[in-house]
Amino acid sequence: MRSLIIGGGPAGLQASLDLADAGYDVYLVERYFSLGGHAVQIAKNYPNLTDIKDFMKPLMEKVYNHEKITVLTNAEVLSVDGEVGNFKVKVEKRPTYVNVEKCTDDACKKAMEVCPVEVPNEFNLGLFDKRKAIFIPFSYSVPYGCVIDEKSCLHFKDEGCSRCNEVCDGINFEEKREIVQIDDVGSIIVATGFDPFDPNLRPELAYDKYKNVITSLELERMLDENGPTKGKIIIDGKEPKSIVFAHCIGSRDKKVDNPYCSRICCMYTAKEAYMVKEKIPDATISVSYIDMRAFGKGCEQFYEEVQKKQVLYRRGVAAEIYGAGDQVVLRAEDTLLSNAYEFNADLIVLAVGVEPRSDSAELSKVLGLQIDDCGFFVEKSIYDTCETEKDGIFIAGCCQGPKDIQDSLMQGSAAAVKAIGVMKRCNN
Amino acid sequence: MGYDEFRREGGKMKEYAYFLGCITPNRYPGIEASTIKVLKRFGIETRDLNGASCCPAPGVFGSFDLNTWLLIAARNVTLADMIGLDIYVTCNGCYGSLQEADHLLKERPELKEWVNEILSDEGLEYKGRIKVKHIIEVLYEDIGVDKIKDAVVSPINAKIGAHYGCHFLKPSLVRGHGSPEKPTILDELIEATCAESIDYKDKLMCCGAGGGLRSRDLNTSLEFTRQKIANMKDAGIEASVDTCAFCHLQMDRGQIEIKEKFGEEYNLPILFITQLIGLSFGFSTKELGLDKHSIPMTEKFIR
Amino acid sequence: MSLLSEIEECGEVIGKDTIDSFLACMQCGKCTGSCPSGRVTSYRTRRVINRLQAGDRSVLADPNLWMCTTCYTCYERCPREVRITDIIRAVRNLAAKEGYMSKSHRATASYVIKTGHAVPINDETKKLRKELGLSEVPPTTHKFPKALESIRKIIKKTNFDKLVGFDWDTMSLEERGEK
Repeated sequence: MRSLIIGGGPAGLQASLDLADAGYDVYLVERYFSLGGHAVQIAKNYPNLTDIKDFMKPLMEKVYNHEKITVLTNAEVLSVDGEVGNFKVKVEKRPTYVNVEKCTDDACKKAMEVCPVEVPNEFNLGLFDKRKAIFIPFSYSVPYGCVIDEKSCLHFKDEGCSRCNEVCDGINFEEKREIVQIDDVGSIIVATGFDPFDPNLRPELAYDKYKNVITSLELERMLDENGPTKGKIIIDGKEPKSIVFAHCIGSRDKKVDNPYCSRICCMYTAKEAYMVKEKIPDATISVSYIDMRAFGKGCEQFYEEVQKKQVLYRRGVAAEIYGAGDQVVLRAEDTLLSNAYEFNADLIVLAVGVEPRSDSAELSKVLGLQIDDCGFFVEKSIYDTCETEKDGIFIAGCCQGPKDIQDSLMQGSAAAVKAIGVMKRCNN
Repeated sequence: MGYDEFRREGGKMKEYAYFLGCITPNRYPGIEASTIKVLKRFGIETRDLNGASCCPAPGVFGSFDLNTWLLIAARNVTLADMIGLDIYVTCNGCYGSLQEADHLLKERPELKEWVNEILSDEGLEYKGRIKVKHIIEVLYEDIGVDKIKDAVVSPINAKIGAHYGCHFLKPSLVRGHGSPEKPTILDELIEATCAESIDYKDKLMCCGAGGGLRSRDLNTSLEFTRQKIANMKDAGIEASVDTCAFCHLQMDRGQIEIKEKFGEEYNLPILFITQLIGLSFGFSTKELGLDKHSIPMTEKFIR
Repeated sequence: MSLLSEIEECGEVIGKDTIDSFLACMQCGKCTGSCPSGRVTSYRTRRVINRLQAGDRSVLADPNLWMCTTCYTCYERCPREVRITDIIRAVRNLAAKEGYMSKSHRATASYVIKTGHAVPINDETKKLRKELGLSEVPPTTHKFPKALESIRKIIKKTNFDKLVGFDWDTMSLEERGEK
């Protein structure tokens, strides 16, 4: 009997590892080319500013190399039949057209060099750089090596292009989509994560209008020493000197159907403000917030550290943004002073909230799970946030509700224990 | 395009009752004349709504006594209901009152009953058979941007600042025209005349007239207007086009008041959307009442 | 009677749910920050809601209550879907009932009682109407005295005349100190 994990972010990785270490066979299905989820787009974690890479890279490698775990990346669950103790799962494994076993630094470099296609690099949110149609997903992707994105690759458009094939013998354009049938699945853990909120749904914040209005995730890519800007914060060729962070963008907001608190934004903003201040010590930084929620262990203390860095916390949500020359102007009320103010900034960072995956409704149908009004998977009870109404199917991480990496890992472990429980029960 | 051609294309002749309100007939009849002329080009007939009154202004009378506001607004809607014609209006305030009253009466049977009890004195009965439309809806939906484009004979070559006003799109929950944060409907109509609709700071901001502010505190009210007009000037805009007779008054006559009170002179021509379209259809400045505005038209708007 | 129920009563036609929505305000300040009036006056939308939540009646006497142009920007953007502008209208109804109605507003109201129009016709416009090929007098209460009578009946029924202090004998506003 084996377990199926859907989603290779922190929760799914941790669940896979715990199950495998307990002696169970695990299939881990990940939609993207690499494991890691959104966590690997982030530079450092709060409240202790540790490098995410130092944690995520070994975790991903451990999972990938574990003899009990079969990792299927670039793959998606098509159907689930059967019941607890004996689910039958059909997975689509899409081709990457590259045999990563044959990847060498030199061959990969050459293949990417000769590829004539350039498209926005989605890992960096399409904002900073382009990638080729054959590319390495990110600096520490697992599996590590090139993949071909067939949507942009010219080989599949007119079959004329095989340039990468000429310089690398790991390429196989004949690779086909495979249907992997997995039987004897005792339990399933769903850990499909989240989508960041699209700030265009709040048009008054003019996100699509000005280059210097960005999301917190976009800032994370700039804060990453291995990222597209090598850790430099550069907006339109310049280092910003006045920066505003705007809390609760797409959170606590019924207008966009997200009435919930996203739980992570207060603290990731504190962390980002801290890191920006370290990088640009003479920057004027303020945070416009509604209520400060620093509830995690060590978080209140970290919040205090950030304040001591002269990051000004101003109570009152960002109301609207307009452009003034090279700058953008934030309009808001300082609700403690009852003052409507305008703040001219070189950069405004929108602390976007956590949303369920846009296709969570479809997956819920495949799995026979319930989703709530917001689109998160429904737990059996608030005292048991891993179990679902469906026996043998568990949920972990942000697909159950917004949470930070630490809590996602814990819920992944908890779900693994629950999965072991039902599989033991079914075996007896 | 004439009426016959419109019919040939399958267009159905439509007749509307024109709810005039106050500012249009009593201060800017040019809006009234232009609107009737432009609609006629497309075979849309306008019938008088005899005995109509003030809408009454939603932010003014609605602020004094909502009961009186609803009854008078409902009476105005009912006058059209009785003759079975949909209404169009040329003022966001009128739209605000009539459309909201109609919405409330359709949503809440107890209000309808109460209103009918009182209206029965005059022999009126609200049945809820008609629609209250803004002239922008008639232009955009009944006629359409393409047909307007085709009918342009005297293209407008100017940079225009669109002024949407507030009550055409908001509250969106009641109006039902979608998000009011990034509308394009007026810009599209402006550009149908070959003019260019230019973005400017605080484009969607209120003109300052509404909610009783104009009558209660003219200086504050004009400060809104001053900001809007200054922002348009900064963006190189040559005229503003609006959708509302009250905004129109505030921005046209308001400029005279701004000059008197603040000593600032802007001379930005103000046109109602059907006046702009009328010019592009070859009507003269005089026929459209544009020559009687407080702020004179500049050369580009003189035909 | 609590302030809330008094406002609910004034705003009956727009509905109890609409009025009660202010109870859910979380004081984020989106309204004030979006308010064009708040940029040029001391009207603070959020403060009005805050005072209503606290049951603070002094809000009725606050002239800032009348600085809202009912542009609905706050209403559209409120993350808790508080129907702010409608609530402001209902609160103003209560303020008017308590006598907080400016002379200029009473005058505007009196024009409707007298003519059916808040902005009645004048000679200059009559002339212009003729030039434009329109009827000299618009087909409104201006032209139909019976229609004006109907408007007046409605106004008497709702006691709107008493609210604004309109004297039918002199057909003008009663003298009244401004609160």
